[in-house]
Amino acid sequence: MSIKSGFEISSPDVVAEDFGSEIVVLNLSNGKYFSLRGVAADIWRDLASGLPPQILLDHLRSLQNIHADFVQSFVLDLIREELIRPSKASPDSISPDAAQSVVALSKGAEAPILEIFDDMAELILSDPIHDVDEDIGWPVKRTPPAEK
Amino acid sequence: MAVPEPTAFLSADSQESLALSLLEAVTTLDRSRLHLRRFTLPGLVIDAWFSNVAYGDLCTRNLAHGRMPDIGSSADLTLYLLDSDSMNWPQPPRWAEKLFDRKAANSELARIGLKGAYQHDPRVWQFFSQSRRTGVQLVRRPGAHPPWESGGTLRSFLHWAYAAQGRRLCHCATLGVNGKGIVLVGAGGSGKSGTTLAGIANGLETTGDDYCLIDQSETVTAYPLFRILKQDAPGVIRVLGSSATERFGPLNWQDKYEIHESALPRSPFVAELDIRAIVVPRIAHLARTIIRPVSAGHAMRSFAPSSTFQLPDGEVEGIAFAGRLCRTLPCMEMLLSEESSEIAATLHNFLKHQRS
Repeated sequence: MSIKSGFEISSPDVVAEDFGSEIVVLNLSNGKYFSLRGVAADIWRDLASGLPPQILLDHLRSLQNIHADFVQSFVLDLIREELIRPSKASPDSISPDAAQSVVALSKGAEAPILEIFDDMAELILSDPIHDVDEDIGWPVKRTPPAEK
Repeated sequence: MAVPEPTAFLSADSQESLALSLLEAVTTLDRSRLHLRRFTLPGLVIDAWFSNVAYGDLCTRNLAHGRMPDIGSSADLTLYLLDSDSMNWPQPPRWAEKLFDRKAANSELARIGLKGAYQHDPRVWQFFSQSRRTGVQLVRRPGAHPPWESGGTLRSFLHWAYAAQGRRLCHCATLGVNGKGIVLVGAGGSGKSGTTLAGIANGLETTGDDYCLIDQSETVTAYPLFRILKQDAPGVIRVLGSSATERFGPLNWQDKYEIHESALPRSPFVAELDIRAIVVPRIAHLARTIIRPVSAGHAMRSFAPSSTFQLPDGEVEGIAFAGRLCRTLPCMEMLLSEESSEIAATLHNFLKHQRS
């Protein structure tokens, strides 16, 4: 997938709450939730405001002492988890000079990390109808018929 | 009445006919065969018609009473809790697909202004119309409810009715002293119920240990909806002693006792608690319990996912509600000791120092 276009939050399945020092993101389609702290939160805000990832990465690579590869890996994690998607709207982009993540990384911020929590995923996906006993109920599995 | 054909299978786009036929059918029911119960919950009076008297009695026993309505007042909501066998209706249809697609189902119902939920086993259909102030539940036969129903009776209907008021059922526990309290948040097994039991065993108050009604207007207030606490056998023995388990009946589907308030020496339930903090309990086996600040994001991660994904819909609104709560209140973490009286004393002292 090209990261040259602008990206947007994959709403309505993805919902984010910004607490300043941390953004908590929930993916309602699979029950996973995520914590973005420090520069990870800055990158999220920059992408959500329309800054195309490629422009951000190109700008970071033009600066000294910044490992843009970490940022690229983080952006790809966001895409792989379907938290962001290419935006159909033309990007109304902020200048990369003004991007929060660029400012933070220029000051020596640590590499961004996407913390993933999937303890709720089972609750979302465990709704089978064919392998549970209707009279007893979840989580009791129906006894399979004996093989002949 | 025009109920669905026997053995019918429904999908997202065909369930609306079931919803509408049920909502229409209840307007002409012969109520003389049904059993009426009135529930006076906080800010919500419900008249509920049951086809199965035992289910009505279960709800009457386990739901909180709330404040009494004015004599002769009408109900805010009418529910019909019906089973096909008692009604001589065809069996409720099954969902056609292997997985119940609640997103598609909710979307289709929303087009006609309805809410709904379906549980594959034992095949429970629930529909709710805010404009008609009516809800209908249909199961196959008397008592054909999921095993978790007794611990949170009529939960989906309460969720829908309170959401329409801007209030939320939240997956949380509370503890308090003299009307001032904390909300305990966290996924199942995080220590909410154990902390609640430790607190009430040592004189603290509560509005529940699993689901509470939360209102956040100028202040944050928690209300009780159920009169049940839940705890596994080791937790009961640790806090109340080994003889206590004899009073609490059989273990439920989670191997927990469902402890009705009447089985306790005194009822720990209060009509409301003025909430002063969000607390994330953590089983830490410390010599002394420690309460210390955590970030709002930490509290949010402990609160929003479990509260959001255990209710049939309203995820976006629920997450926004939880976010507001975490921004409004001080967020704390409580590293627990193993001594229930010490845990309660630490909470008591914490609440004493919260600003009025």
